[in-house]
Amino acid sequence: MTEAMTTESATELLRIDELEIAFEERGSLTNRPVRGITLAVAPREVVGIVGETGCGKSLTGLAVLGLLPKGAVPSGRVLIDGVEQPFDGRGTARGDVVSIVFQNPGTAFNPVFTLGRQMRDVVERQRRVDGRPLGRAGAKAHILHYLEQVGLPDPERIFRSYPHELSGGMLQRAMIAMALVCEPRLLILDEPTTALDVTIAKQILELILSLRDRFGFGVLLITHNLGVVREVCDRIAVLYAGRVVEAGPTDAVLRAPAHPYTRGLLGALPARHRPGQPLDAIRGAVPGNLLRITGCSFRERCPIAVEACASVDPALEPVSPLHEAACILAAGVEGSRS
Amino acid sequence: MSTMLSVENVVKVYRAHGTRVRAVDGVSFEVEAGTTFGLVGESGSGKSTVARCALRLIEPTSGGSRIDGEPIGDLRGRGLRELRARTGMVFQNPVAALNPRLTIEQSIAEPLRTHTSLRGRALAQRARELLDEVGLAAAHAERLPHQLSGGQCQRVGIARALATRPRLLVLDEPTSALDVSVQAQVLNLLQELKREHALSYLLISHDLDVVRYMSDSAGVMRKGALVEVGPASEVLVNPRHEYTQRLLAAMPETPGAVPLDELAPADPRENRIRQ
Repeated sequence: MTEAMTTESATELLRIDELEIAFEERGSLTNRPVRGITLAVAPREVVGIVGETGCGKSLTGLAVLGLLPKGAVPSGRVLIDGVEQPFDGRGTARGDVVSIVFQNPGTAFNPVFTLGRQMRDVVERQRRVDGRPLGRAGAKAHILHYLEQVGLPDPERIFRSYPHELSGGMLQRAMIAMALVCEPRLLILDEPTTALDVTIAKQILELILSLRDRFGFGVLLITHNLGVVREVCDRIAVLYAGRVVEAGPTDAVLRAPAHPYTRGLLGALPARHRPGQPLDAIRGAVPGNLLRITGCSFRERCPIAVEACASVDPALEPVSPLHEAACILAAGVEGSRS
Repeated sequence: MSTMLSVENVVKVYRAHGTRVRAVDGVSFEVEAGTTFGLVGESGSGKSTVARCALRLIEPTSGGSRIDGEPIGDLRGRGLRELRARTGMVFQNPVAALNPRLTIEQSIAEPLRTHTSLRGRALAQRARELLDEVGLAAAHAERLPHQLSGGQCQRVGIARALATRPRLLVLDEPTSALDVSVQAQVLNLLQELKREHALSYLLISHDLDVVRYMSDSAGVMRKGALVEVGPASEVLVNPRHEYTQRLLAAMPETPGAVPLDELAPADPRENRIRQ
């Protein structure tokens, strides 16, 4: 592993080190959707994880929280503030240090309790003042403060509302407030705007950045939308088939993508084409099972694959000082290897 | 150019909890033969409801539409069934749109059984032809929907819509559930099929980039009304209506996008703004 994705370890908030997640059923492995992911997030930094369905984005987020589904067999390390976190969730920094915001605010809340009740559960469990619980009134005041921070009008009313009484955009703000009540230092956002209309999505992204400025948390943003990444991320990691295939500062990766998959993702976007001009689709589909992959996992879909790609499993190599790609042809294609 | 679909002052009112909601509030537009008309707008703006009213999949409260010049409002029985055969619809969630217990071939044969006299070997052959046309292999015929990827299921959805050789397809968010690389495959397929079969599309999407790329004309809906309509190269490039401008401004900028001013026609005609 190179140092490009690593900031000074002293300033690292989150470090994921060679994370692998396999799935086991009746004693035998059935799949290995995450096959070695390494990345880091510094305080105040927004790092994007990009990739298509099934590339391991969400599992990576869940592993950080110790929320992996049953049957998952993780290996590698997740460190928060330099402290290794257990994968089974007990005694993790979840809640104290890390919070998550899910994609679909309409289903992430429990429909039969008011938002206030659900947020109070979190606060009463997690917040202590001088080692003692906050108490009802204290918890409520704390929650109202955060409902206000996320720009919701009339926090008192929101506190008493059931999820179905709010629009998708308002619910996502409430979800963010719920993530913030524990004053996390790392916020994981799993497709936070995918279910929202564009005008609302824009407001939510702006809100996240302004909250980051105010509270100073780091953000791990999971998304498939390269436009969203471009707007908010400092650095990105492009995932394919459970691996980071390209990583670096957002600008560098999007301006001069070195991995053919990243170039393929960009090339497939309708906005990069004139009407009538055929889209540069990536042929084929993501491999369904990653248990027995040999060589480069992208080679079957790759427009520039050569014979060596069938036997060499490429590691991340620098293409410029902070930018790296896992492709044996990356340097040759970009001509930028120093 | 002739007009394939003409939507005329469609109104759809729903009653809910004693209040009346005007889901569609007097919408009119035309889809010229061989072209794509893109309908954009946020969720709940009435896009899908208009399209369904236009094909009489739901009955409009008032107003109606003509297909190929023929008013469809009074069609009953056989006439209505023939209308169904002349139009097709592709839905947003390709996996949910297929019967999970039918094989792919059975799913494609279903509209053929309903609308044609094909049976037995001829039926199977036409189903295979359709599979081939949407880029699926014969090996897919015996599979069930859950054994296919989302993109492959959407190809099946398109094959079903094409089965009766319609001339007009309504595409309701055909790629919203798909990843970008697969979206590109499906959009390319739709463009090819349109050329080969001289199809007309009514494309519904909340993705302005997709609509701008695919459409000849476009309409923008808000709260049940069409607020702007005209050539896509004007409405979605240089919008006149404040709401369309706001939608365009909210789209995250795609890295490496073709600059919008290069998409605008040199001599823009007036696009109409509706109230």
